[in-house]
Amino acid sequence: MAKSILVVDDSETIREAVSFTLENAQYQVQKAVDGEDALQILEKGQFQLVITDLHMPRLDGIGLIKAIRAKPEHQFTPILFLTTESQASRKEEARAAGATGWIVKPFVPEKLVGVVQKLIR
Amino acid sequence: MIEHLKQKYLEEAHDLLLELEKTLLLLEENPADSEGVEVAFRVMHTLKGSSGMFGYQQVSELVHLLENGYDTIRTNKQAVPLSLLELSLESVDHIRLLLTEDTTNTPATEGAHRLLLKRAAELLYEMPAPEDERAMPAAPAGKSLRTWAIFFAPQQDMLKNGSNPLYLLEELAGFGGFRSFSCTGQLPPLTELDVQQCYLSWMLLLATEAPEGDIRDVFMFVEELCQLQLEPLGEGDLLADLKEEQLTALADKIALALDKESFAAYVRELKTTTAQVKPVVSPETAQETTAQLASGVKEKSVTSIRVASDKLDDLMNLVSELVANQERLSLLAELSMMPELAGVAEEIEKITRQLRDKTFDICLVPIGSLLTRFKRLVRDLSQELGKNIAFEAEGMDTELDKNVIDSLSDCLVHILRNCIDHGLEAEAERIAKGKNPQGTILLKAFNSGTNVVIEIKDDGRGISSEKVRNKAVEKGLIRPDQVLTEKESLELILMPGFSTAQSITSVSGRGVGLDVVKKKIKELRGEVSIASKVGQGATITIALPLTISIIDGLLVRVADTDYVLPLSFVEKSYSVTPADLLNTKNNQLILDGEPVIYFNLAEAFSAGSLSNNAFGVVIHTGTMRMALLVDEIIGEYQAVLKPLGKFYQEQDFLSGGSLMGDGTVALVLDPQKLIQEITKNRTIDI
Repeated sequence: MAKSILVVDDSETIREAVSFTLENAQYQVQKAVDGEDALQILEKGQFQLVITDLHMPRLDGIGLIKAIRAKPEHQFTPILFLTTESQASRKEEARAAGATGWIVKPFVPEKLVGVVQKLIR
Repeated sequence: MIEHLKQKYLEEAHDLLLELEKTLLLLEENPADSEGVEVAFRVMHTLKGSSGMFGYQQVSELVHLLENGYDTIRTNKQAVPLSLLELSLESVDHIRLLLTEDTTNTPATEGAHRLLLKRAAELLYEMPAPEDERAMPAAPAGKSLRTWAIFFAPQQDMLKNGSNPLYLLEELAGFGGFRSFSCTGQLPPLTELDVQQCYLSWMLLLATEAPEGDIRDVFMFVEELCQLQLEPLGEGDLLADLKEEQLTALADKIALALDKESFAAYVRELKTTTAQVKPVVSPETAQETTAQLASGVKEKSVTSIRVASDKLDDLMNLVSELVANQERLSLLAELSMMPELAGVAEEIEKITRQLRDKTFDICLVPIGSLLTRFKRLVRDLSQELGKNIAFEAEGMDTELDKNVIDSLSDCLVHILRNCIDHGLEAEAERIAKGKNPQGTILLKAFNSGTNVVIEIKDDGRGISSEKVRNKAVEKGLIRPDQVLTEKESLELILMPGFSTAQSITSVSGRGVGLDVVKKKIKELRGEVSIASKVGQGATITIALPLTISIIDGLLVRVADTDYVLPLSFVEKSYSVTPADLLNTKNNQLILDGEPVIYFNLAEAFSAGSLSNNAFGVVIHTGTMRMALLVDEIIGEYQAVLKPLGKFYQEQDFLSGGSLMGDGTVALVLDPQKLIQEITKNRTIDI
């Protein structure tokens, strides 16, 4: 069965770009527009990986990562966050919150899939 | 604070754009230059990052697209397609525009932006996607197969952030020959084992062509969650050379390893084992690394800091003030008859002089800093006009005051435009004339005495002095019967209201002539001259003084007024009495047995007759010697040049005024102009 990935980003462009790339790589993708939305979707399905932006309205990326880690069933679920090089401090914060890794924006599709493959097979 | 940072960003962005432009032009000459691609990519990457941060989203998105293109080229080791270079150069211009327009754009810019984005996207679409490096059949030169020893010890709670160490090992295994040995020393008894913890660590042997960076990238997400040690064991695939029993023996020992220290010990052991099979480092590689090290050291030793140019202007002004006051102090000290004060004044003079020279030095900028702009100009124009032009530059490390450079830049651009538009012929015409199909423009700079000389030489049509003359008559610039030398005729094109262009073109014919250049250069106390041979080309020469604000001079007095003669022109001083002048012919004095034309400043400035014990100061310019008669020589003097008021504007032979210690003004003479002026009006009396 194909692995399921939850993509969380308030920017439609990024959300669609990430989803499109992952679907092309034979992953199943669900989309959420912010942290709150993501938590609701997580309740309803099974996901092997979460990819989230850090800056989002309502519940931001850091908050979302903490909330996911707090759920017993997602203690070991890999979580990737989207970042830019200029956000070194945010990177630390996200790691501390329990994120597994990151993807530097902007990215090429190959890189995104490469990073995802580091975490799920 | 934000504004301040933004200013920094803009400075950085402009520098990056300049570097990018330079790189792109180099790439255009050699599209397969992988180093150039690397630089272009890096510069774009930096530009993209900072632009996004400061709200220049449009810059960021455009650069991002281009950067992707260069990344692909970099990965595929291709040559850069000319279409991409063209687009990149246009983008550089566009980004400059975006940066000046701040974050609000005019509709025109907006449209241009969307068009560029579209073109970039289309171009990228046509380019082949990057191939997997590892899948490439033959290892490109410079990449070599190496064997690495890797020690990887995850923290026990690594699994808790979602990482799976086994996936990392699998990824590594994809890099080439791979062996892994588990270190089981930390496994607790089964009853105490927590399935959510990671107790194992690994010693890995990997034979791969991948560089160290790629290997480390595998561990990028767990860097802080593990101990990782990476050590090259040697060149080549040592795994293939190791015997099975050796490996098994090693594995047994490794199984109990717990830490870096024991890892190091095993690596040493492995190294000795493998050394018997193959030399660890071949002599060539050893040499290569030494060379790399040496060049690395050299790069590091050149350091510089960035200073805002208005700070330099402030510094320069302060130094000028200091020099003026120091001169005043020196004069006062001399009058005071206090030996101690004289000593202090002398010391201060020495230090001031050094400070002045250092400050000058700081403000000097090599002409080469303008080179990219010129190259670009020549490239764009020659394309636009369909001419084949080679642009060469010599002596680009010649330095000039940065203020001079700033003003000079526009002048040179103007001259270059003229060369390309009017001077150089189209390829067909050149071939018909039996010339090299490719036209050449040579920009050459060099030091000559206290001047910096800049020549712009082309091998085009040249300028016909006759045509210039006729045109000048037609325009009413000279009388038809006026006698002019060849050189004087040529230089008529520098006069206001002159333009030889047959038709007005977008390149150089907007009604602005070379007279603007002449005016600007004159403001810099420089000279423009033209030489040309019809059919062979023209040379425009600009001579500029090294610095424009402080000069070393000789202070002299004529009647009650002080004058400063730039010391660099002064040769020698002689005592001259009015009696000496009585029996002279053709205004010539015999000094040291040689006739020298003299010029009586007192007479010229209507300041009465010469005093009884006057002096003749012999000055020389490149071709002429002349004795200036003055009443008194006061001594050496550093003159801080200030522009004179409008009453003096027409007085060519004055470079400016200098405020003296006692508040009076000394006039600074320009010997070159003075000699020109005198020789022009001199009638020879036989």
